[in-house]
Amino acid sequence: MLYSVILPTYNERENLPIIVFMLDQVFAKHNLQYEIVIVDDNSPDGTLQVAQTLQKHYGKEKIAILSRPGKLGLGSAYLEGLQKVSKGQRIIIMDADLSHHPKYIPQMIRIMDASSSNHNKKVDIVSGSRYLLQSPESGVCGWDLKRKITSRGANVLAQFLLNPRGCTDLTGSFRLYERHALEKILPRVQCTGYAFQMEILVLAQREGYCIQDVPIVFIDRMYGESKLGPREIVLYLKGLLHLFFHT
Amino acid sequence: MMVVLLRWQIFSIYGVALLSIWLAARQALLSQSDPPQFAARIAVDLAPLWGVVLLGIYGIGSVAYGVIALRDHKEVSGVLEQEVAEVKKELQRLGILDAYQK
Repeated sequence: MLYSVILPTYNERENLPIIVFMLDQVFAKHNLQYEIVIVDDNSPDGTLQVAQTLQKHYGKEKIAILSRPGKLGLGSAYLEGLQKVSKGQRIIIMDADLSHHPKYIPQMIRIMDASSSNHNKKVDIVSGSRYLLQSPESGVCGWDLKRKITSRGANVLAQFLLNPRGCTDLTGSFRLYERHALEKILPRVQCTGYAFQMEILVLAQREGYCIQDVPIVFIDRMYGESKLGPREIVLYLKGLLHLFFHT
Repeated sequence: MMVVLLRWQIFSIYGVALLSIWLAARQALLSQSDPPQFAARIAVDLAPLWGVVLLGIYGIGSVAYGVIALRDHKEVSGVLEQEVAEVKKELQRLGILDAYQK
């Protein structure tokens, strides 16, 4: 079983070698075959050069690179990474900025493997959740009160309007997918921004795919600026309304 | 064949049901032989407003609970920084950092 980790990058020169090293360690420790698909949108900080250096060290079988001419969006980065480059039967989507720690991947895989023998409850998507409030292993690090209120407010609103049964973290972006599930859903996603991740889960549920949460700790970006401005909030609300009327 | 309703359709069905109950309650109140008491009129006539207020309280309560219960793992940041420092040392040892640094 080959695992493809799709890592969209934009100005991740500092973080990329670290996350690749960590991923390699985790997969090696658990004796899992993997490839990392780096999708770089012409980062001005030289992320592509770093990716090429990593590819020389780890080999082209483990590091695949898709270089794009500019910032073309996260959704298309995932889609192109999935359709044009990745070969894995299972796909991991995560952030490259160290906010998602690779140590959670084996647990995600265990959950998916454990469900494989049970056809009634086969899990197709394992979603890393910051909001499994009953679990001591779920949560965040580095959020101030304003961020927590905004994030929880967005989640409560989405839960009320969309009722995603069993999914506690709709906007999370650390997930393990069965390839066939992602191939079916991803081309249909229309939202951008935070609502993009939400739409994937909502569409997956409507298609009958089984989603299970796993607790993770989300670590706020160490090297970058906050991505939660007024524009992102407006995009999110537009996406939420779109899903309310179309799903 | 099972009909799958969109979310707005489900909300609309609930909305129509609640509206019908409200209108029926108003009608029942007005058709009593004795004039309805002021408190009863307030309760029934403004029921949609009370519903919105209760929903708002529930929403604010949910957010407040979520913020309070959201676990803040302050120590993880320090642990990650340490891990990153060790990884950088290893990357240096492997020659990866030198290969692309100016």
